[in-house]
Amino acid sequence: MTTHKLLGFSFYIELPNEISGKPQVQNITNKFDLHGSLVSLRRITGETNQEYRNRLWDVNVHPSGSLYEGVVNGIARALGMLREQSLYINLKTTSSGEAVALSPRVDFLANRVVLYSDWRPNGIEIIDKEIRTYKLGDPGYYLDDLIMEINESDCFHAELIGAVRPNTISNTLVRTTSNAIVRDEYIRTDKLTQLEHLYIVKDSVTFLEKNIFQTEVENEPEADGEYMIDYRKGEIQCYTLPSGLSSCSYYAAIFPMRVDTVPVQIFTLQDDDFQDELFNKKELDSGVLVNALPNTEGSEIYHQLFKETEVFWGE
Amino acid sequence: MTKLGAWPQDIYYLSWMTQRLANRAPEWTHGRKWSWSVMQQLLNPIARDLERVHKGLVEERNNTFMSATNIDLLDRLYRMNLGVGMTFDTTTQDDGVDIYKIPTVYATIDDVEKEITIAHKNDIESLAYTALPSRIESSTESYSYSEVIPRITISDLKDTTPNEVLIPGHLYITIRNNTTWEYRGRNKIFYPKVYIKGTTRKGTSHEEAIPIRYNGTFKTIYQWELVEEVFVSYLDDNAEITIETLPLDRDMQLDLQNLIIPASGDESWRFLTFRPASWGTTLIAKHFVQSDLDVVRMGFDGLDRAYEIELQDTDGSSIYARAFVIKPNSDYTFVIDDENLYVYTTKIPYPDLTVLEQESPDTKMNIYSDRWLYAKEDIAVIKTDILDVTSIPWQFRWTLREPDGSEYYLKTDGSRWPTTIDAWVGNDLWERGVWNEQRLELLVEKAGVHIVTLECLYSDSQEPNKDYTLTTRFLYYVPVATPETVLALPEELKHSDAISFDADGQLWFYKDNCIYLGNVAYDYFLADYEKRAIWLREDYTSVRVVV
Repeated sequence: MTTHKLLGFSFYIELPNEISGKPQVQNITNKFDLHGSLVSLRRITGETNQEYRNRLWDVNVHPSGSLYEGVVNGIARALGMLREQSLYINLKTTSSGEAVALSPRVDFLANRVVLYSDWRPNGIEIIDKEIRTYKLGDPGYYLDDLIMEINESDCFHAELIGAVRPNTISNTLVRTTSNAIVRDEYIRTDKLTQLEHLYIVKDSVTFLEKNIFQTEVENEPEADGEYMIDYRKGEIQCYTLPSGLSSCSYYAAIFPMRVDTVPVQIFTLQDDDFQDELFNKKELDSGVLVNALPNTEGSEIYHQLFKETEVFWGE
Repeated sequence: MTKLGAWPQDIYYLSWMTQRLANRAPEWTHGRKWSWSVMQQLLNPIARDLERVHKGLVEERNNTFMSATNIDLLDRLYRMNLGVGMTFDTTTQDDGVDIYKIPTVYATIDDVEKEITIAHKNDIESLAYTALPSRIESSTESYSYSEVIPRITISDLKDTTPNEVLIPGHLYITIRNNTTWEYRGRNKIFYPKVYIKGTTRKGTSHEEAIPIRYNGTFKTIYQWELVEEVFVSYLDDNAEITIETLPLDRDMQLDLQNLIIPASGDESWRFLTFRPASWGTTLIAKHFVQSDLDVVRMGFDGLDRAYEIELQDTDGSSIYARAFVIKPNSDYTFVIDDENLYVYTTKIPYPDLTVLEQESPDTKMNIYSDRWLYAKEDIAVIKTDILDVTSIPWQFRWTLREPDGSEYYLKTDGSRWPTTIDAWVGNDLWERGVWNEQRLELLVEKAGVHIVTLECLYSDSQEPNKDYTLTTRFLYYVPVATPETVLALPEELKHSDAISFDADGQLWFYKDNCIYLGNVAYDYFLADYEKRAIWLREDYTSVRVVV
């Protein structure tokens, strides 16, 4: 123990010469922080180079932005929670190897997963199965339950991929759809065209050269203007030779489908599916279901919102 | 060849930068052309400093690319402030200046409080970048190991499905037994390449082409998470390929010495290989200077120096090493044997020249050898070369001083006599005035500096019975490295067959077809006297500071 004489006083105090405890972590700025500042991503306290680099890499892979996915990606990354693949969905096939579904589509919505066995842009929607995922009591609330439900459907098969825990809640799934829009695919000067995608959605293919692709037929085209589409294989066969200057556009179902989970989720109050969970329903005389008073959860959320933000009705 | 004229080129580290500097001299200068000219001798120490500067530039260049940024850069430290009213103790020196006393710091490691030492120079450099490992522990993480592509011939590659990538990171491609290195088309030359297609660690789909320029191990630029397909072009069907997560199957390691190697490859670089012997292990460093990759590949010319360095323990005994790895972004090489981890500097060892005593300035006899560097079990051949045929010695005596300081007289056949007996050998032809050039063959048994002394006894022709002795000395060197530190391996990591660093700078041990993660710890502290704090590298549960 060292003793120190304090000047001007006639007594001694004893100062400690020992201290113990847990040291505090402190980050040292290095080149990674420089790279981080270029993409506006700060290091989280105590984060190592390795962890930080993973997040920096993520910037270009899951870009942030002002739309749904961008906001989810951005918030999740800034909080150090990365988006990762977790669900794998494929089509069930018959013994001959053909997909059971005629024109399959899977939608991940705010409160449910919708599996279509036949979906077409002209309004035909045949739902194979609809699995609610929002509330604790819903059949697909946890990922493993959701997978079980999907596997019970007629047309779809699902499994977990990656390192995701089976008891993750399904609300962490990034909302997505299996359908992709192909706006402009080139058609070569060839009577047989292989499109870039398989599982072309029926009634969705439109051609620039309307005279060559005039009438769709079921079998081998035999006259000018006739063409045939194999929707499963993505093959177009036509009778007249295309000019090589045109293209087609179509919807394609992308299978196998991979869905990501991310621990940050965004719900929009304008989203009809989300509103289903917030309002009691009332059936009008016309038979249309409309929102009535908010339920418990709905009122809580609205109260919270009114408290935090100024909302002006009717503007 | 003068007596000291030959050794420096072989055993003194001539910087590759020296020639770059010398190239600034006019073309007709001697100094520009001869690497052991006085000018280049003068430039060499400066060049060695410049080499470090160059290293810094290369590192900075890499750091400008996010994926190539040095992952070992210091990212976090642990800070412990002194308590209220506490200050570091000072002591007053004889000259009246107060200096701080080094505090005593105890850290709780595995529930035991242990004293830890201050960083070598009490600065960030020695705390973070040049610190030697102080502890190694095994982690719970381990995997059953399989190569992405196990060693197969190129013809079998198309029927092979790539295995899972165990640890996401760079992949290492090892090619063996390839013989054709270029195919000449009509107006193009085609070189062998290996293509990897799959998902990178970022999560994007990619295809990377890796040019293969010689039989050896190559690292991918991308870091891979999943390999879907591997295919090659212009490699022999019977050449062998291995693709691995960790470069465990490689025979040699390329030590770039922090050089940027341009496409033409005209600088200097070296390959390190390992040679187990009955008495221990050596590390062979082959330097190639001013050559291109074709020269390296063909194995002729260009090979400037080959050092065979014996690896020793701190007590001077040989170690039976099992594997080695150059630690990236550092000056250290990690070597393991069955029990320990040895840390060596990657500098080429340099003989202690102070043990070489002065020889007679007017000596009439020269001794020389074809080489100045030997490895254990080599035969060192030492020959005489008379400088003055008018004076012939009538007796001579050979002495050998071994690295441990022991001295022996040598018989003319190279066998040894103790220094207690009269070992002078008479020159039978002295009366006829003739000297037969002598030749000694010595088996190299120890590593280090050997000194051979030849003493020649002359009688003065002017004054009868006045004899005098002239001595000539010769040094030959068996390169040897002693470790900077030796750490006992934990039980789980003993008897490993290979070690390697992954892309995150973690050290993996391979044994029994499994890989085990080893955690290397640096238990040092830095005393920040002004801010009244100490800084630590490791995350301890509790630390006690006594000032």
